[in-house]
Amino acid sequence: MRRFLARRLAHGAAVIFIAASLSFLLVHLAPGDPFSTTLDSASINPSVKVAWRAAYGLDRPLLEQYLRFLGQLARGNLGPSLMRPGPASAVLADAVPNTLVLMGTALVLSFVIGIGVGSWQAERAGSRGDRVAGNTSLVVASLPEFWLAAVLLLVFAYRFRVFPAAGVVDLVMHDSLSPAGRVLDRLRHLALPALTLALLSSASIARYQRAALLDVLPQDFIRTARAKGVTDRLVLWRHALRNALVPTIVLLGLSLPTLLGGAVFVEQVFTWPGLGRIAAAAFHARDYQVVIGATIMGAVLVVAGGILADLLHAAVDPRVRTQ
Amino acid sequence: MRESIGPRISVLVACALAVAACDGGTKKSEDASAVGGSIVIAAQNEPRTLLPPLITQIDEKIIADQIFEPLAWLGDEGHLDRGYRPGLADSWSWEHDSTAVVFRLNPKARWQDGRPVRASDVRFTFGLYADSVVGFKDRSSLARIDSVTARDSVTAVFWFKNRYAEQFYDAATRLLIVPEHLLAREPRATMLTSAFGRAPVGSGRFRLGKWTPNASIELVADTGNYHGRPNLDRVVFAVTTDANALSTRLTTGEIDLVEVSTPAMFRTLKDQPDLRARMNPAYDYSFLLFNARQPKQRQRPNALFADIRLRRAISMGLDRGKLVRSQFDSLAVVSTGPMTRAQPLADSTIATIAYDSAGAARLLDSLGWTLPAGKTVRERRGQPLKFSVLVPTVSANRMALIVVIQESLRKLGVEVVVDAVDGNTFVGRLGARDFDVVFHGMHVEPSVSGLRANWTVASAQDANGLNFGNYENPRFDAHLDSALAARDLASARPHAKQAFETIVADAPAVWIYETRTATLMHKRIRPVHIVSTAWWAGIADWSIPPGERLPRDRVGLRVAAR
Repeated sequence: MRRFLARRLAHGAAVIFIAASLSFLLVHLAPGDPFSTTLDSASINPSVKVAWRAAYGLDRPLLEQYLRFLGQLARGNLGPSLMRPGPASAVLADAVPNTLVLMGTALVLSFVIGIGVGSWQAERAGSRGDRVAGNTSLVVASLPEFWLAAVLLLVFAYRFRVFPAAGVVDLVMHDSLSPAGRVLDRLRHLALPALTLALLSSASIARYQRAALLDVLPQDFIRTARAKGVTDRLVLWRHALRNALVPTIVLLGLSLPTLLGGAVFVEQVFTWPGLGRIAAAAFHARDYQVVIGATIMGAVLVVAGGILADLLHAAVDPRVRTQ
Repeated sequence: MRESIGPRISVLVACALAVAACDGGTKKSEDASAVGGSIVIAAQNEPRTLLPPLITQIDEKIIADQIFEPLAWLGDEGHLDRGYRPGLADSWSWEHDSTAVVFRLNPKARWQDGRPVRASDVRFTFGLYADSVVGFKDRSSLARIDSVTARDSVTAVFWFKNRYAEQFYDAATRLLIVPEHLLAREPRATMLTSAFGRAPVGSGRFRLGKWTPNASIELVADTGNYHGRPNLDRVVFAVTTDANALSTRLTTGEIDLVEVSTPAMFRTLKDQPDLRARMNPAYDYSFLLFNARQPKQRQRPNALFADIRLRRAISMGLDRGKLVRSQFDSLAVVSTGPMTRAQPLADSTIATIAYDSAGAARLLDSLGWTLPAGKTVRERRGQPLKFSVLVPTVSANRMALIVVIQESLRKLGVEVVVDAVDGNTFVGRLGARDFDVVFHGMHVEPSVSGLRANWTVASAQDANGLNFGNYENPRFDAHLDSALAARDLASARPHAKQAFETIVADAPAVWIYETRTATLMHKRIRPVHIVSTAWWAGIADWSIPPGERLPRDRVGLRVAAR
């Protein structure tokens, strides 16, 4: 297991290095520069922009910039942000907690909803309810994140005014609320973005869960349980579900990169100041170091997700552990 | 009758303003019931820096104007030659030859860190704005200020190279004064990312409370300000980039105020019962700019657009009135030239190139661009009349209009290829003059001095100049120079008119529209000092009646003022 882990970590490090290098290359080759972030910057004299490029070291040959970047990266330093004073890592550090909260909540919600719906469908496989739920989850899984986000925004924030439209907390009231009020305020702001991400992921999870249960239900141990007089419901939830969770749990690790990809759009719609929003803003602003940093974080998440999936698989399936 | 800003009048104005300053010009909050309240304003972009010389976006300007002060504010009517309100200076006078203005700073003026504001700060600020390394975008507008000196600790003198109509405007309003003691040691070439830009210290009536990146910027009342504390406790700028979220936040009351420039949003929001709409005069105009030179090869004339007759034919082929009405309704009017009607020197009576599709077709025929039988695009010697138009995808208005323009010109036998690029690429290609035609937009100030940077021969021939279309006509330059050198606005007007007539006749661009913006604000807010150029100029004196306050208006300063 240790050797397996070491090998996966080495692979992961290679993936992260390649992602960082590709990201460096592509973002520097993209047209535009960090000093043309808005249309208004057209009125800044180009000679000033040339001077700025020199001052920030962007006039150096690309190879020299790349080597300097690698040197900084080896010391755990991404380099300075061009959008804000200070290092790019500080820009990312501001955003990461918000994204983790959003993704964590969405992950939990998506598994609760997905497993629940998938099991409910498996229990009545072939019925009209199963078909309706199956088609619905197929439609939801096919929806683009930004569209679903906009629809939820219009329905729950604009029409019914149940949840706030944007942000992490109430901009004025939050600091004056009681501790419980602050928690509630955060939850209310979290609801729509987390629900958007969760609905999209849960649709796929439900389909996986239903298929896994339908594989398990015809097996001998289920027949034995039924023969012993265990009720159908208990058979499903206690015996079958446990065994059918293996492929779904593996999905947990693999969902992380998907959720992060979705967060880029969802954070934009709900003005959620997380990693996705920062990455999009940094790309528009050609804030090279922040873009590369966000890419590295995405790569880390993909690698970590893969390793987590393997570990979870080993944890729930003793046959894997012994291999 | 308009007054000119000569020495005698200036002294009278200064005296009047000094009196006004004593009895309320400095806006001490005498009515305790007016104090309190929080307003949330939508910021459609995250500001990059709040260091005044490096501000380029309107959101940055709105915020910086609360934290910093100029020497004097433009008056409510927006006249360049009278009606200024005291800012950091509480009075001013002219030297006898009118080539110097003496500003006397309010002796009580303090920076928000407690240090006194001194004339040396004004001198330092001018040096910063005028330094080419720093990157102030309107630096050319300061070219006629020779120097700034500090006569004593509270007297700053602006020395001009010559006398001209907009002297006082240039000196009093263009510079937001910054503290020398906090910025003197900052390296000027990298000021764009200086820490001061994110933690500014000014002398304005609001100070920075909290900046949450990509979310909000909270300004809180500076209760110890020498002008008196502002009525409002706080002003929060909520960064909201998504149009749906912006509309929803305004409708649900999360946001109190937004400046709208897109017709769709205006139509959606203007009839909301809690909101009051106010139309602002237009200071933005957009146009199809022809490149008179080959893209990236300035020494060669453009194969198509070096010919003034072709430019005029395309102008004649577009029914701009219909285009603008269909797209903007009441939020825009047809542009008449490189100006907006709100500028004091603009002249809307100038004859423009009228819509005449038959005339345009005849003109194209006469130029040899004829429509071969069975074809839809005109040709000359086998070459189709086809060009691309560079458009920024970030401008919803321009993206919508270019499709209609494309269709209009198609009917004339002209093929337009829409070259839509992201904002960053757009700015890069504009600066490199890498386009045949660009759908460009400009923001102007009340002064027309900015024309020099964008339309003169010198700026066309300067590789780093901002005359992106390479328009060159010495006659225009001469009239513009005469207008800018005139001693008062009345004598500048005839020269300005001739300059505008020249450039409009040359058709370096098709002048499409002047956009007006609408400020939508919650009805509980009582605004004052809505200056024509800047609705935000008097926010410190805005108030919310106690009986109409929302829960967030009652939070008070206790929490925010940390």
